[in-house]
Amino acid sequence: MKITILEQNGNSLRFVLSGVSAPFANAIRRIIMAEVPTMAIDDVMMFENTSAMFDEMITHRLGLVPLTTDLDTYLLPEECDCESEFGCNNCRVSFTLDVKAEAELKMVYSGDLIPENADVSPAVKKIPIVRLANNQRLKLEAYARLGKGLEHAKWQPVSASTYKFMPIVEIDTKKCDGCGDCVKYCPKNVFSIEKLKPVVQNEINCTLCMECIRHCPIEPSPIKISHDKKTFIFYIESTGSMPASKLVKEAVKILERKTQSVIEQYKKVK
Amino acid sequence: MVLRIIKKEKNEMKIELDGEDHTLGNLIQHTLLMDKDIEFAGYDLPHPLSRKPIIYLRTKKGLKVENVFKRTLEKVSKQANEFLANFSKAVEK
Amino acid sequence: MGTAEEKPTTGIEYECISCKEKVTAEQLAITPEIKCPICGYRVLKKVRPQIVKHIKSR
Repeated sequence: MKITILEQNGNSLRFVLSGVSAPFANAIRRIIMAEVPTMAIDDVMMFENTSAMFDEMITHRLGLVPLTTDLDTYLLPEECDCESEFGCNNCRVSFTLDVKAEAELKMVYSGDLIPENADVSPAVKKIPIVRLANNQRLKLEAYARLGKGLEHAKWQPVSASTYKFMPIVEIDTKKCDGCGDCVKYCPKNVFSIEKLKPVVQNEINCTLCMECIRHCPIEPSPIKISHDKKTFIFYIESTGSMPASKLVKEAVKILERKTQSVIEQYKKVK
Repeated sequence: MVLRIIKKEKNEMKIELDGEDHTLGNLIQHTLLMDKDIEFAGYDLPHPLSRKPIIYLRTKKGLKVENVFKRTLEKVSKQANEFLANFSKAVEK
Repeated sequence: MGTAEEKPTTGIEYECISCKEKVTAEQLAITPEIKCPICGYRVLKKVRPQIVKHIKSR
């Protein structure tokens, strides 16, 4: 098994994983999307809402705001001992929001949510919630808890969790006539011309669209496009709840925990 | 997640994983098929919304089925741990 | 003798569209027709009750 990081900036991560089967890579992808816990607002106590949007719509929008998550400090409500409907300090964080528009129009942003604990706060501060006109006021208290993407999309920690196979692009230069059409029609600039013949300069960007073969005047084409079935190029883009690398680590930890749980139960029942 | 053994004969077994879905089901099926002692392995979700996959495995004549399932799960667990070790090293670089 | 019994008020308030005066549900129930007792306008708006509402953000 080999892992190479291609690109890592803040919330997004691109890496190559080779030497594993497709179901393993897919399990990682699925767990990142649906089973890594994230913080999101789930309950709202509305004190005053004189805005143009009704209560349920505003709370729905607040639920979708991505919050920075600290998995070590908080527990999933089903794992917390408190067993209370509203949660305790271990499984719930609260926010307050109190915005009033004076003479001019005022936009309520996600940054106006004041957290009780600065570790769990809106990941992006400029998400517009609702616009307030003269003398309109929005005053509420919101409670966030950990949850999984399986339950509701607001708990999905990624905006993109995907992989593709590693492309293999080969050109048989002896059969090639150097027309340059593959260079012209490739949407990803995989080819370039060197010494009158095309060369593969950017194999990893190939999307296997086969436009180069389609436009190639020679049949069968000297260009061969295939993919490596055991090498995966992952692209993970977090919404801001956790850095992408942490998401991948948590996902595989969850996979390991699931397998251990199956082993333990199997040993008991066997 | 609740595991139930639905059917167990000498060389075949049907296991239900209540609370799981394709994530584990497909992974376990594929790893079972790579085992040399397995004659047949498959998984199915009787209803797509029910999240109760059933894994079916059958070993070659004369081989015990219980150990093969445990062996397969341990392979998956080992692969996951290997990933974590390699990934942590790669991110630190 | 003794204090007058307090009739239970529902606390539901309405606001007249034209004169913007607050009118309670009991005041409206006096006449059979819905009318603002101050200016006589027949269109009233219900004022949001002062209750804290609990909403699930789903």
